Amino acid sequence: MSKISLVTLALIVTTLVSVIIALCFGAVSISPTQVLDILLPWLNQQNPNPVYSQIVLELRLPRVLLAILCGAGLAVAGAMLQQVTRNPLADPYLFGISAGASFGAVAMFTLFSSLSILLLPLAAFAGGLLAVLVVISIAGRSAFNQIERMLLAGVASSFMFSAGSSAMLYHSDPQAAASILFWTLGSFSQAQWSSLPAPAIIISGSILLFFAFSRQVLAISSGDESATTLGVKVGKVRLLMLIASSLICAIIVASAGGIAFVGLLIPHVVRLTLGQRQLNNFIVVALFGGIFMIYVDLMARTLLENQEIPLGIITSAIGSVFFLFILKQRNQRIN
Amino acid sequence: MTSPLLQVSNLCWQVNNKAILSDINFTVTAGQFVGIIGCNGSGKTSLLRALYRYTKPTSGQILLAQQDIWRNSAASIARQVAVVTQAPSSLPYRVHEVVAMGLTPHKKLLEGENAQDKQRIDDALSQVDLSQFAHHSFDTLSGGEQQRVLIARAIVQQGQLLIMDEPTNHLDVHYQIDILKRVKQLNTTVIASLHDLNIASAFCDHLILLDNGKIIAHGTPQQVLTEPLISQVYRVELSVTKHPIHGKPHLLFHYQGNSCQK
Repeated sequence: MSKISLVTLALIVTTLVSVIIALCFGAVSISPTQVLDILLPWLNQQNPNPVYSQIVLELRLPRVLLAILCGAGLAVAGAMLQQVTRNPLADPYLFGISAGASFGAVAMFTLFSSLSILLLPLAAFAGGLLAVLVVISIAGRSAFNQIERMLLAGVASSFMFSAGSSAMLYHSDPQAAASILFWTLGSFSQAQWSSLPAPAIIISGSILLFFAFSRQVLAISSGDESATTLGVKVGKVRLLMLIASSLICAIIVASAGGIAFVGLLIPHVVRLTLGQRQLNNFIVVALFGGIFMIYVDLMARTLLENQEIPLGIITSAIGSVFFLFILKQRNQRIN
Repeated sequence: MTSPLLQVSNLCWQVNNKAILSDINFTVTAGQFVGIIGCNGSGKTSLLRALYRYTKPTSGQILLAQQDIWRNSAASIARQVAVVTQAPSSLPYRVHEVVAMGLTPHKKLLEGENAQDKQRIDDALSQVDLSQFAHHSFDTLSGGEQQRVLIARAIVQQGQLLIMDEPTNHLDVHYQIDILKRVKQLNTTVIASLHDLNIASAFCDHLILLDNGKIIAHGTPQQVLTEPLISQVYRVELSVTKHPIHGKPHLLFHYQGNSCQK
Protein backbone atom coordinates (compact mmCIF):
# COMPACT_ATOMS: atom_id res chain seq x y z
CA MET A 1 0.00 0.00 0.00
CA SER A 2 1.46 3.34 -0.96
CA LYS A 3 2.02 6.10 1.55
CA ILE A 4 -0.72 8.23 0.07
CA SER A 5 -3.33 5.42 0.22
CA LEU A 6 -2.49 5.03 3.91
CA VAL A 7 -2.87 8.76 4.45
CA THR A 8 -6.22 8.70 2.63
CA LEU A 9 -7.43 5.79 4.74
CA ALA A 10 -6.32 7.53 7.93
CA LEU A 11 -8.17 10.68 6.84
CA ILE A 12 -11.37 8.74 6.15
CA VAL A 13 -11.20 7.10 9.60
CA THR A 14 -10.49 10.49 11.21
CA THR A 15 -13.49 11.96 9.40
CA LEU A 16 -15.81 9.23 10.69
CA VAL A 17 -14.50 9.54 14.26
CA SER A 18 -14.82 13.32 14.05
CA VAL A 19 -18.44 13.03 12.94
CA ILE A 20 -19.22 10.88 16.01
CA ILE A 21 -17.42 13.33 18.31
CA ALA A 22 -19.25 16.29 16.77
CA LEU A 23 -22.60 14.52 17.22
CA CYS A 24 -21.90 13.99 20.95
CA PHE A 25 -21.42 17.61 21.92
CA GLY A 26 -23.78 20.55 22.00
CA ALA A 27 -26.36 22.00 24.35
CA VAL A 28 -26.98 18.42 25.54
CA SER A 29 -24.09 15.97 25.77
CA ILE A 30 -24.85 12.54 24.37
CA SER A 31 -22.43 9.66 24.90
CA PRO A 32 -20.70 8.11 21.85
CA THR A 33 -22.41 4.73 22.46
CA GLN A 34 -25.80 6.42 22.44
CA VAL A 35 -24.88 8.25 19.24
CA LEU A 36 -23.86 4.97 17.62
CA ASP A 37 -27.12 3.36 18.77
CA ILE A 38 -29.04 6.18 17.10
CA LEU A 39 -27.01 6.08 13.89
CA LEU A 40 -27.01 2.29 13.57
CA PRO A 41 -30.36 1.20 15.07
CA TRP A 42 -30.30 -2.24 13.40
CA LEU A 43 -27.29 -3.23 15.55
CA ASN A 44 -29.20 -2.56 18.69
CA GLN A 45 -32.27 -4.18 20.28
CA GLN A 46 -33.40 -1.46 22.67
CA ASN A 47 -34.87 1.74 21.29
CA PRO A 48 -32.73 4.83 21.82
CA ASN A 49 -34.06 7.87 23.63
CA PRO A 50 -36.42 9.56 21.11
CA VAL A 51 -35.43 13.09 22.14
CA TYR A 52 -31.73 12.30 21.70
CA SER A 53 -32.58 10.59 18.46
CA GLN A 54 -34.30 13.75 17.26
CA ILE A 55 -31.35 15.92 18.31
CA VAL A 56 -28.76 13.72 16.61
CA LEU A 57 -30.63 12.92 13.40
CA GLU A 58 -32.53 16.13 12.75
CA LEU A 59 -30.36 18.85 14.28
CA ARG A 60 -26.76 17.77 14.53
CA LEU A 61 -26.23 15.32 11.67
CA PRO A 62 -27.35 17.65 8.82
CA ARG A 63 -25.27 20.37 10.40
CA VAL A 64 -22.15 18.18 10.57
CA LEU A 65 -22.69 16.98 7.00
CA LEU A 66 -23.08 20.55 5.76
CA ALA A 67 -19.85 21.43 7.61
CA ILE A 68 -18.02 18.57 5.84
CA LEU A 69 -19.42 19.62 2.46
CA CYS A 70 -18.47 23.27 2.92
CA GLY A 71 -15.00 22.50 4.26
CA ALA A 72 -14.35 20.05 1.44
CA GLY A 73 -15.75 22.37 -1.22
CA LEU A 74 -13.77 25.42 -0.13
CA ALA A 75 -10.58 23.37 0.19
CA VAL A 76 -10.79 21.79 -3.29
CA ALA A 77 -11.82 25.08 -4.90
CA GLY A 78 -8.82 26.77 -3.26
CA ALA A 79 -6.44 23.98 -4.29
CA MET A 80 -7.72 24.12 -7.86
CA LEU A 81 -7.45 27.90 -8.15
CA GLN A 82 -3.96 27.95 -6.64
CA GLN A 83 -2.85 25.47 -9.27
CA VAL A 84 -4.45 26.96 -12.37
CA THR A 85 -3.35 30.48 -11.46
CA ARG A 86 0.03 29.33 -10.07
CA ASN A 87 -0.61 31.84 -7.31
CA PRO A 88 -0.33 30.49 -3.75
CA LEU A 89 -2.51 33.35 -2.53
CA ALA A 90 -5.42 32.46 -4.79
CA ASP A 91 -8.54 31.85 -2.74
CA PRO A 92 -12.07 30.99 -3.86
CA TYR A 93 -13.18 34.41 -2.69
CA LEU A 94 -10.48 36.28 -4.58
CA PHE A 95 -12.65 36.44 -7.69
CA GLY A 96 -15.35 38.43 -5.99
CA ILE A 97 -17.64 35.45 -5.44
CA SER A 98 -18.06 36.12 -1.74
CA ALA A 99 -18.60 39.84 -2.27
CA GLY A 100 -21.13 39.11 -5.03
CA ALA A 101 -23.01 36.61 -2.89
CA SER A 102 -23.12 39.03 0.03
CA PHE A 103 -24.38 41.68 -2.36
CA GLY A 104 -27.19 39.38 -3.45
CA ALA A 105 -28.08 38.55 0.15
CA VAL A 106 -27.96 42.16 1.31
CA ALA A 107 -30.11 43.24 -1.61
CA MET A 108 -32.66 40.58 -0.69
CA PHE A 109 -32.59 41.57 2.99
CA THR A 110 -32.98 45.29 2.45
CA LEU A 111 -35.22 45.43 -0.63
CA PHE A 112 -37.56 42.48 -0.10
CA SER A 113 -37.19 41.79 3.62
CA SER A 114 -40.47 39.87 3.83
CA LEU A 115 -39.25 37.18 1.45
CA SER A 116 -35.73 37.07 2.76
CA ILE A 117 -35.71 33.81 4.74
CA LEU A 118 -36.91 31.77 1.80
CA LEU A 119 -35.04 33.43 -1.03
CA LEU A 120 -31.84 34.41 0.71
CA PRO A 121 -29.77 31.40 -0.45
CA LEU A 122 -31.05 31.86 -3.98
CA ALA A 123 -30.16 35.55 -3.98
CA ALA A 124 -26.69 34.80 -2.61
CA PHE A 125 -26.12 32.14 -5.27
CA ALA A 126 -27.24 34.52 -8.01
CA GLY A 127 -25.02 37.29 -6.63
CA GLY A 128 -22.00 34.99 -6.57
CA LEU A 129 -22.53 33.95 -10.17
CA LEU A 130 -23.10 37.57 -11.18
CA ALA A 131 -19.68 38.42 -9.73
CA VAL A 132 -18.04 35.68 -11.79
CA LEU A 133 -19.77 36.92 -14.93
CA VAL A 134 -18.50 40.41 -14.18
CA VAL A 135 -14.94 39.09 -13.77
CA ILE A 136 -15.18 37.20 -17.04
CA SER A 137 -16.54 40.19 -18.92
CA ILE A 138 -14.06 42.67 -17.42
CA ALA A 139 -11.13 40.40 -18.12
CA GLY A 140 -12.28 39.43 -21.58
CA ARG A 141 -12.05 35.98 -23.07
CA SER A 142 -8.38 36.17 -23.97
CA ALA A 143 -7.52 37.09 -20.39
CA PHE A 144 -7.55 33.47 -19.34
CA ASN A 145 -4.13 33.34 -20.91
CA GLN A 146 -3.03 36.18 -18.65
CA ILE A 147 -3.30 35.32 -15.00
CA GLU A 148 -2.57 38.80 -13.68
CA ARG A 149 -5.43 40.37 -15.60
CA MET A 150 -7.78 37.72 -14.32
CA LEU A 151 -6.74 38.24 -10.69
CA LEU A 152 -6.94 42.02 -10.94
CA ALA A 153 -10.39 41.81 -12.51
CA GLY A 154 -11.43 39.61 -9.57
CA VAL A 155 -10.13 42.08 -7.00
CA ALA A 156 -11.80 44.98 -8.79
CA SER A 157 -15.20 43.29 -8.99
CA SER A 158 -14.88 42.23 -5.35
CA PHE A 159 -14.52 45.86 -4.26
CA MET A 160 -17.32 46.93 -6.57
CA PHE A 161 -19.80 44.51 -4.99
CA SER A 162 -18.59 45.35 -1.46
CA ALA A 163 -19.26 49.00 -2.16
CA GLY A 164 -22.79 48.13 -3.29
CA SER A 165 -23.44 46.04 -0.16
CA SER A 166 -22.05 48.72 2.15
CA ALA A 167 -24.19 51.41 0.55
CA MET A 168 -27.35 49.33 0.99
CA LEU A 169 -26.44 48.37 4.57
CA TYR A 170 -25.75 51.98 5.47
CA HIS A 171 -29.30 52.90 4.51
CA SER A 172 -30.97 49.93 6.20
CA ASP A 173 -32.02 49.57 9.83
CA PRO A 174 -29.45 48.42 12.45
CA GLN A 175 -31.19 45.10 13.10
CA ALA A 176 -30.94 44.06 9.47
CA ALA A 177 -27.32 45.17 9.48
CA ALA A 178 -26.55 42.95 12.48
CA SER A 179 -28.15 39.85 10.97
CA ILE A 180 -26.37 40.50 7.68
CA LEU A 181 -23.06 40.76 9.53
CA PHE A 182 -23.70 37.41 11.26
CA TRP A 183 -24.62 35.87 7.95
CA THR A 184 -21.58 37.16 6.07
CA LEU A 185 -19.30 35.66 8.74
CA GLY A 186 -20.81 32.23 8.15
CA SER A 187 -22.92 29.80 10.15
CA PHE A 188 -24.32 26.29 9.78
CA SER A 189 -27.25 26.99 12.10
CA GLN A 190 -29.73 26.91 9.19
CA ALA A 191 -28.67 23.38 8.17
CA GLN A 192 -31.49 20.93 7.46
CA TRP A 193 -31.66 17.75 5.44
CA SER A 194 -33.44 19.64 2.66
CA SER A 195 -30.56 22.10 2.34
CA LEU A 196 -27.96 19.36 1.72
CA PRO A 197 -28.65 18.00 -1.79
CA ALA A 198 -27.77 21.16 -3.75
CA PRO A 199 -24.29 21.64 -2.25
CA ALA A 200 -23.69 17.87 -2.26
CA ILE A 201 -24.41 17.60 -5.98
CA ILE A 202 -22.44 20.69 -7.00
CA ILE A 203 -19.42 19.88 -4.82
CA SER A 204 -19.14 16.19 -5.68
CA GLY A 205 -19.76 16.95 -9.37
CA SER A 206 -16.97 19.52 -9.32
CA ILE A 207 -14.58 17.16 -7.56
CA LEU A 208 -15.26 14.61 -10.31
CA LEU A 209 -14.60 17.30 -12.93
CA PHE A 210 -11.37 18.28 -11.15
CA PHE A 211 -10.23 14.65 -11.20
CA ALA A 212 -11.02 14.40 -14.90
CA PHE A 213 -8.79 17.37 -15.64
CA SER A 214 -6.14 16.72 -13.00
CA ARG A 215 -3.47 15.83 -15.57
CA GLN A 216 -4.14 19.03 -17.52
CA VAL A 217 -4.19 21.09 -14.34
CA LEU A 218 -0.89 19.60 -13.21
CA ALA A 219 0.61 20.57 -16.56
CA ILE A 220 -0.75 24.13 -16.22
CA SER A 221 0.73 24.37 -12.72
CA SER A 222 4.16 23.90 -14.27
CA GLY A 223 3.72 26.78 -16.74
CA ASP A 224 1.38 27.84 -19.56
CA GLU A 225 3.86 27.35 -22.37
CA SER A 226 4.97 23.96 -21.11
CA ALA A 227 1.31 22.91 -20.74
CA THR A 228 0.58 24.04 -24.31
CA THR A 229 3.42 21.88 -25.62
CA LEU A 230 1.80 18.95 -23.77
CA GLY A 231 -1.38 19.54 -25.77
CA VAL A 232 -3.39 21.30 -23.05
CA LYS A 233 -5.80 24.09 -24.08
CA VAL A 234 -4.67 26.28 -21.21
CA GLY A 235 -7.19 29.13 -21.53
CA LYS A 236 -10.21 26.86 -21.87
CA VAL A 237 -9.23 24.52 -19.02
CA ARG A 238 -8.51 27.48 -16.74
CA LEU A 239 -11.89 29.07 -17.52
CA LEU A 240 -13.72 25.78 -16.91
CA MET A 241 -11.96 25.29 -13.57
CA LEU A 242 -12.73 28.88 -12.53
CA ILE A 243 -16.41 28.37 -13.32
CA ALA A 244 -16.57 25.10 -11.37
CA SER A 245 -14.80 26.67 -8.37
CA SER A 246 -17.18 29.61 -8.54
CA LEU A 247 -20.20 27.32 -8.50
CA ILE A 248 -18.82 25.59 -5.40
CA CYS A 249 -18.27 28.89 -3.60
CA ALA A 250 -21.58 30.38 -4.62
CA ILE A 251 -23.49 27.37 -3.28
CA ILE A 252 -21.45 27.40 -0.05
CA VAL A 253 -22.00 31.12 0.52
CA ALA A 254 -25.69 30.55 -0.20
CA SER A 255 -25.95 27.68 2.34
CA ALA A 256 -23.64 28.87 5.10
CA GLY A 257 -22.46 32.42 4.41
CA GLY A 258 -18.93 33.61 3.81
CA ILE A 259 -16.50 31.34 5.63
CA ALA A 260 -13.12 32.98 5.37
CA PHE A 261 -9.62 31.56 5.11
CA VAL A 262 -10.43 27.85 4.61
CA GLY A 263 -9.86 27.91 0.85
CA LEU A 264 -6.45 29.43 1.42
CA LEU A 265 -5.47 27.49 4.55
CA ILE A 266 -6.27 23.87 3.69
CA PRO A 267 -4.36 23.75 0.36
CA HIS A 268 -1.32 25.14 2.20
CA VAL A 269 -1.64 22.57 4.98
CA VAL A 270 -1.71 19.83 2.32
CA ARG A 271 1.18 21.39 0.41
CA LEU A 272 3.34 21.75 3.51
CA THR A 273 2.59 18.35 5.02
CA LEU A 274 2.25 16.05 2.00
CA GLY A 275 3.90 17.98 -0.85
CA GLN A 276 2.68 20.08 -3.74
CA ARG A 277 1.75 17.02 -5.83
CA GLN A 278 -1.02 16.05 -3.40
CA LEU A 279 -2.73 19.38 -4.04
CA ASN A 280 -3.98 17.60 -7.12
CA ASN A 281 -5.33 14.71 -5.03
CA PHE A 282 -8.73 16.26 -4.49
CA ILE A 283 -9.99 13.49 -2.19
CA VAL A 284 -7.18 14.17 0.30
CA VAL A 285 -7.72 17.92 0.04
CA ALA A 286 -11.49 17.49 0.51
CA LEU A 287 -11.04 15.25 3.57
CA PHE A 288 -8.63 17.74 5.18
CA GLY A 289 -11.15 20.53 4.59
CA GLY A 290 -14.07 18.46 5.87
CA ILE A 291 -12.32 17.44 9.11
CA PHE A 292 -11.17 20.99 9.78
CA MET A 293 -14.68 22.34 9.30
CA ILE A 294 -16.28 19.72 11.60
CA TYR A 295 -14.16 20.99 14.50
CA VAL A 296 -14.64 24.64 13.56
CA ASP A 297 -18.40 24.16 13.72
CA LEU A 298 -18.10 22.19 16.97
CA MET A 299 -16.27 25.14 18.50
CA ALA A 300 -18.75 27.61 17.04
CA ARG A 301 -21.63 25.98 18.89
CA THR A 302 -19.93 24.87 22.13
CA LEU A 303 -17.33 27.51 23.08
CA LEU A 304 -19.88 30.01 24.39
CA GLU A 305 -22.91 28.70 26.23
CA ASN A 306 -26.25 29.38 24.55
CA GLN A 307 -24.61 31.45 21.88
CA GLU A 308 -23.15 30.76 18.47
CA ILE A 309 -19.87 32.22 17.31
CA PRO A 310 -19.77 33.05 13.59
CA LEU A 311 -17.61 30.52 11.73
CA GLY A 312 -15.56 33.14 9.94
CA ILE A 313 -14.16 34.41 13.24
CA ILE A 314 -13.02 30.92 14.27
CA THR A 315 -11.61 29.93 10.88
CA SER A 316 -9.64 33.15 10.65
CA ALA A 317 -8.38 33.01 14.23
CA ILE A 318 -7.42 29.32 14.29
CA GLY A 319 -6.43 29.29 10.68
CA SER A 320 -3.95 32.11 10.93
CA VAL A 321 -2.28 30.73 14.07
CA PHE A 322 -2.12 27.21 12.66
CA PHE A 323 -0.78 28.58 9.41
CA LEU A 324 2.05 30.44 11.13
CA PHE A 325 2.83 27.33 13.19
CA ILE A 326 3.17 25.17 10.06
CA LEU A 327 5.30 27.79 8.33
CA LYS A 328 7.59 27.89 11.36
CA GLN A 329 7.87 24.08 11.48
CA ARG A 330 8.66 24.11 7.81
CA ASN A 331 11.41 26.73 8.22
CA GLN A 332 13.00 24.70 11.00
CA ARG A 333 13.03 21.59 8.85
CA ILE A 334 14.75 23.45 6.02
CA ASN A 335 17.44 25.07 8.21
CA MET B 1 11.81 10.34 -52.60
CA THR B 2 10.35 10.56 -49.12
CA SER B 3 8.41 13.66 -48.24
CA PRO B 4 9.81 15.93 -45.53
CA LEU B 5 8.65 15.55 -41.93
CA LEU B 6 8.27 19.29 -41.49
CA GLN B 7 7.63 21.83 -44.18
CA VAL B 8 7.51 25.54 -43.40
CA SER B 9 6.37 27.83 -46.19
CA ASN B 10 6.07 31.63 -46.32
CA LEU B 11 5.81 31.86 -42.56
CA CYS B 12 5.28 35.43 -41.31
CA TRP B 13 4.46 36.64 -37.84
CA GLN B 14 3.74 40.26 -37.02
CA VAL B 15 3.00 41.86 -33.67
CA ASN B 16 1.63 45.42 -33.75
CA ASN B 17 2.68 45.73 -37.39
CA LYS B 18 6.26 44.84 -36.52
CA ALA B 19 7.55 41.83 -38.38
CA ILE B 20 9.06 39.30 -35.99
CA LEU B 21 9.36 36.54 -38.59
CA SER B 22 9.24 37.22 -42.32
CA ASP B 23 8.92 34.79 -45.16
CA ILE B 24 10.48 31.75 -43.53
CA ASN B 25 10.79 28.71 -45.79
CA PHE B 26 12.57 25.47 -44.98
CA THR B 27 12.04 21.74 -44.72
CA VAL B 28 13.28 19.16 -42.26
CA THR B 29 13.58 15.49 -43.21
CA ALA B 30 13.15 12.69 -40.70
CA GLY B 31 16.27 11.97 -38.68
CA GLN B 32 17.90 15.36 -39.24
CA PHE B 33 19.45 17.37 -36.43
CA VAL B 34 18.72 20.99 -37.32
CA GLY B 35 20.27 23.89 -35.46
CA ILE B 36 18.78 27.38 -35.46
CA ILE B 37 21.36 30.08 -34.85
CA GLY B 38 21.33 33.87 -34.79
CA CYS B 39 21.87 36.85 -32.51
CA ASN B 40 19.68 37.57 -29.49
CA GLY B 41 16.35 38.87 -30.74
CA SER B 42 16.78 37.44 -34.22
CA GLY B 43 13.58 35.39 -33.88
CA LYS B 44 14.87 31.94 -32.86
CA THR B 45 12.42 31.44 -30.01
CA SER B 46 9.55 32.97 -32.03
CA LEU B 47 10.22 30.55 -34.87
CA LEU B 48 10.30 27.56 -32.51
CA ARG B 49 7.08 28.71 -30.82
CA ALA B 50 5.38 28.85 -34.19
CA LEU B 51 6.66 25.34 -34.95
CA TYR B 52 5.28 23.84 -31.76
CA ARG B 53 1.92 25.56 -32.19
CA TYR B 54 2.25 27.98 -29.29
CA THR B 55 1.87 31.15 -31.36
CA LYS B 56 -0.26 31.30 -34.47
CA PRO B 57 1.59 32.89 -37.39
CA THR B 58 0.07 35.85 -39.25
CA SER B 59 0.41 34.03 -42.55
CA GLY B 60 2.12 31.02 -44.03
CA GLN B 61 1.83 27.34 -43.39
CA ILE B 62 3.54 24.72 -41.27
CA LEU B 63 3.01 21.15 -42.43
CA LEU B 64 3.93 18.32 -40.09
CA ALA B 65 3.85 14.96 -41.89
CA GLN B 66 1.80 16.66 -44.68
CA GLN B 67 -0.77 18.05 -42.25
CA ASP B 68 -1.31 21.68 -41.34
CA ILE B 69 -0.58 21.91 -37.61
CA TRP B 70 -3.41 24.41 -37.10
CA ARG B 71 -5.94 22.00 -38.60
CA ASN B 72 -5.14 19.45 -35.91
CA SER B 73 -5.89 19.63 -32.20
CA ALA B 74 -3.28 20.77 -29.72
CA ALA B 75 -3.22 17.28 -28.21
CA SER B 76 -2.62 15.56 -31.54
CA ILE B 77 0.33 17.88 -32.26
CA ALA B 78 1.64 17.23 -28.74
CA ARG B 79 1.64 13.50 -29.50
CA GLN B 80 3.96 14.17 -32.44
CA VAL B 81 6.08 17.07 -31.25
CA ALA B 82 7.83 17.04 -27.89
CA VAL B 83 9.30 20.30 -26.64
CA VAL B 84 12.09 21.03 -24.19
CA THR B 85 11.98 24.72 -23.33
CA GLN B 86 14.59 26.42 -21.18
CA ALA B 87 14.36 24.73 -17.79
CA PRO B 88 11.91 26.49 -15.46
CA SER B 89 13.60 27.81 -12.34
CA SER B 90 11.29 25.90 -10.04
CA LEU B 91 8.88 22.98 -10.31
CA PRO B 92 7.63 21.80 -6.92
CA TYR B 93 7.36 18.16 -7.98
CA ARG B 94 9.41 15.00 -7.81
CA VAL B 95 11.45 13.94 -10.81
CA HIS B 96 9.24 10.99 -11.78
CA GLU B 97 6.15 13.21 -11.52
CA VAL B 98 7.68 15.71 -13.96
CA VAL B 99 8.57 12.90 -16.37
CA ALA B 100 5.03 11.48 -16.08
CA MET B 101 3.68 14.80 -17.41
CA GLY B 102 4.87 13.58 -20.84
CA LEU B 103 1.86 11.24 -20.81
CA THR B 104 -0.59 14.17 -20.79
CA PRO B 105 -1.42 14.26 -24.54
CA HIS B 106 -1.80 10.46 -24.63
CA LYS B 107 -4.35 10.20 -21.85
CA LYS B 108 -8.10 10.62 -21.92
CA LEU B 109 -9.91 12.39 -19.10
CA LEU B 110 -9.94 10.27 -15.92
CA GLU B 111 -7.55 7.72 -17.45
CA GLY B 112 -4.94 6.52 -14.98
CA GLU B 113 -1.38 5.31 -15.42
CA ASN B 114 -0.95 1.63 -16.19
CA ALA B 115 2.05 -0.66 -15.76
CA GLN B 116 3.22 0.09 -19.29
CA ASP B 117 3.25 3.83 -18.59
CA LYS B 118 5.25 3.28 -15.40
CA GLN B 119 7.72 1.16 -17.37
CA ARG B 120 7.99 3.90 -19.97
CA ILE B 121 8.76 6.48 -17.28
CA ASP B 122 11.40 4.20 -15.71
CA ASP B 123 12.97 3.54 -19.12
CA ALA B 124 13.11 7.25 -19.95
CA LEU B 125 14.75 8.00 -16.61
CA SER B 126 17.37 5.30 -17.10
CA GLN B 127 17.99 6.58 -20.63
CA VAL B 128 19.07 9.91 -19.15
CA ASP B 129 20.85 8.18 -16.22
CA LEU B 130 18.59 9.67 -13.57
CA SER B 131 16.92 6.51 -12.23
CA GLN B 132 18.45 7.05 -8.80
CA PHE B 133 16.94 10.56 -8.68
CA ALA B 134 13.37 9.46 -9.51
CA HIS B 135 12.05 10.37 -6.07
CA HIS B 136 14.15 13.48 -5.57
CA SER B 137 12.58 16.90 -5.80
CA PHE B 138 13.12 18.51 -9.22
CA ASP B 139 14.24 21.75 -7.56
CA THR B 140 17.19 20.09 -5.82
CA LEU B 141 18.82 18.99 -9.10
CA SER B 142 21.51 20.90 -10.96
CA GLY B 143 20.68 22.76 -14.17
CA GLY B 144 22.10 19.97 -16.33
CA GLU B 145 20.15 17.30 -14.47
CA GLN B 146 16.93 19.33 -14.71
CA GLN B 147 17.43 19.59 -18.46
CA ARG B 148 17.86 15.79 -18.59
CA VAL B 149 14.59 15.35 -16.65
CA LEU B 150 12.82 17.45 -19.30
CA ILE B 151 14.40 15.31 -22.02
CA ALA B 152 13.08 12.22 -20.23
CA ARG B 153 9.64 13.88 -20.22
CA ALA B 154 9.98 14.39 -23.98
CA ILE B 155 10.96 10.72 -24.41
CA VAL B 156 7.79 9.68 -22.57
CA GLN B 157 5.83 12.01 -24.84
CA GLN B 158 7.02 9.87 -27.79
CA GLY B 159 7.03 12.53 -30.48
CA GLN B 160 8.62 12.03 -33.84
CA LEU B 161 10.01 15.56 -33.64
CA LEU B 162 11.89 17.05 -30.70
CA ILE B 163 12.11 20.84 -30.48
CA MET B 164 14.56 22.37 -28.00
CA ASP B 165 14.89 26.05 -27.17
CA GLU B 166 18.46 26.76 -26.12
CA PRO B 167 18.86 23.44 -24.34
CA THR B 168 22.45 24.22 -23.40
CA ASN B 169 21.78 27.64 -21.93
CA HIS B 170 23.38 28.20 -18.50
CA LEU B 171 25.14 24.83 -18.63
CA ASP B 172 28.86 24.26 -18.25
CA VAL B 173 30.71 22.79 -21.18
CA HIS B 174 30.50 19.24 -19.81
CA TYR B 175 26.70 19.35 -19.65
CA GLN B 176 26.40 21.20 -22.98
CA ILE B 177 28.12 18.29 -24.70
CA ASP B 178 26.43 15.69 -22.47
CA ILE B 179 22.91 16.96 -23.25
CA LEU B 180 23.40 17.16 -27.01
CA LYS B 181 25.10 13.73 -27.13
CA ARG B 182 22.14 12.20 -25.35
CA VAL B 183 19.70 13.93 -27.68
CA LYS B 184 21.65 12.71 -30.69
CA GLN B 185 21.50 9.14 -29.35
CA LEU B 186 17.69 9.27 -29.33
CA ASN B 187 17.81 8.97 -33.15
CA THR B 188 14.86 11.26 -33.52
CA THR B 189 14.40 14.39 -35.59
CA VAL B 190 15.61 17.41 -33.64
CA ILE B 191 15.26 21.16 -34.12
CA ALA B 192 17.24 23.11 -31.53
CA SER B 193 18.14 26.75 -31.15
CA LEU B 194 21.75 27.10 -30.09
CA HIS B 195 23.98 29.98 -29.05
CA ASP B 196 27.35 28.28 -29.19
CA LEU B 197 28.28 28.14 -32.86
CA ASN B 198 31.05 25.57 -32.37
CA ILE B 199 28.66 23.25 -30.57
CA ALA B 200 26.12 23.82 -33.34
CA SER B 201 28.76 22.95 -35.92
CA ALA B 202 29.75 19.76 -34.12
CA PHE B 203 26.25 18.37 -33.58
CA CYS B 204 23.97 19.65 -36.34
CA ASP B 205 23.51 18.20 -39.84
CA HIS B 206 21.83 21.36 -40.98
CA LEU B 207 21.91 24.95 -39.74
CA ILE B 208 19.46 27.81 -40.20
CA LEU B 209 20.91 31.27 -39.64
CA LEU B 210 18.34 33.89 -38.66
CA ASP B 211 18.77 37.64 -38.64
CA ASN B 212 15.94 40.09 -37.93
CA GLY B 213 13.36 37.37 -38.43
CA LYS B 214 14.63 36.33 -41.85
CA ILE B 215 16.60 33.30 -42.91
CA ILE B 216 19.99 34.61 -44.03
CA ALA B 217 21.45 31.23 -44.83
CA HIS B 218 20.70 27.58 -44.41
CA GLY B 219 22.57 24.43 -45.24
CA THR B 220 25.32 22.27 -43.81
CA PRO B 221 27.63 23.78 -41.17
CA GLN B 222 30.26 24.20 -43.93
CA GLN B 223 27.80 26.28 -45.98
CA VAL B 224 26.54 28.45 -43.13
CA LEU B 225 29.51 28.93 -40.82
CA THR B 226 31.60 31.04 -43.15
CA GLU B 227 33.65 34.10 -42.25
CA PRO B 228 31.63 36.64 -44.29
CA LEU B 229 28.22 35.40 -43.10
CA ILE B 230 29.01 35.07 -39.42
CA SER B 231 31.01 38.30 -39.22
CA GLN B 232 28.16 40.16 -40.93
CA VAL B 233 25.34 38.72 -38.79
CA TYR B 234 27.05 38.59 -35.42
CA ARG B 235 29.30 41.63 -36.02
CA VAL B 236 32.44 39.89 -34.87
CA GLU B 237 35.73 39.22 -36.50
CA LEU B 238 36.63 35.58 -36.82
CA SER B 239 38.58 32.94 -38.65
CA VAL B 240 37.06 29.63 -39.62
CA THR B 241 39.23 26.55 -39.34
CA LYS B 242 38.56 22.85 -39.65
CA HIS B 243 38.10 21.01 -36.39
CA PRO B 244 40.99 18.53 -36.08
CA ILE B 245 38.74 15.67 -34.92
CA HIS B 246 35.29 15.91 -36.48
CA GLY B 247 36.39 17.94 -39.50
CA LYS B 248 33.48 20.40 -39.35
CA PRO B 249 34.02 24.17 -39.22
CA HIS B 250 35.46 25.54 -36.01
CA LEU B 251 35.24 29.25 -35.34
CA LEU B 252 38.04 31.23 -33.76
CA PHE B 253 36.89 34.66 -32.66
CA HIS B 254 39.15 37.70 -32.65
CA TYR B 255 38.42 39.40 -29.42
CA GLN B 256 39.45 42.95 -30.43
CA GLY B 257 36.57 43.62 -32.84
CA ASN B 258 33.01 44.78 -32.25
CA SER B 259 30.68 42.43 -30.48
CA CYS B 260 27.11 41.44 -31.34
CA GLN B 261 25.75 44.94 -30.60
CA LYS B 262 23.36 46.76 -32.80
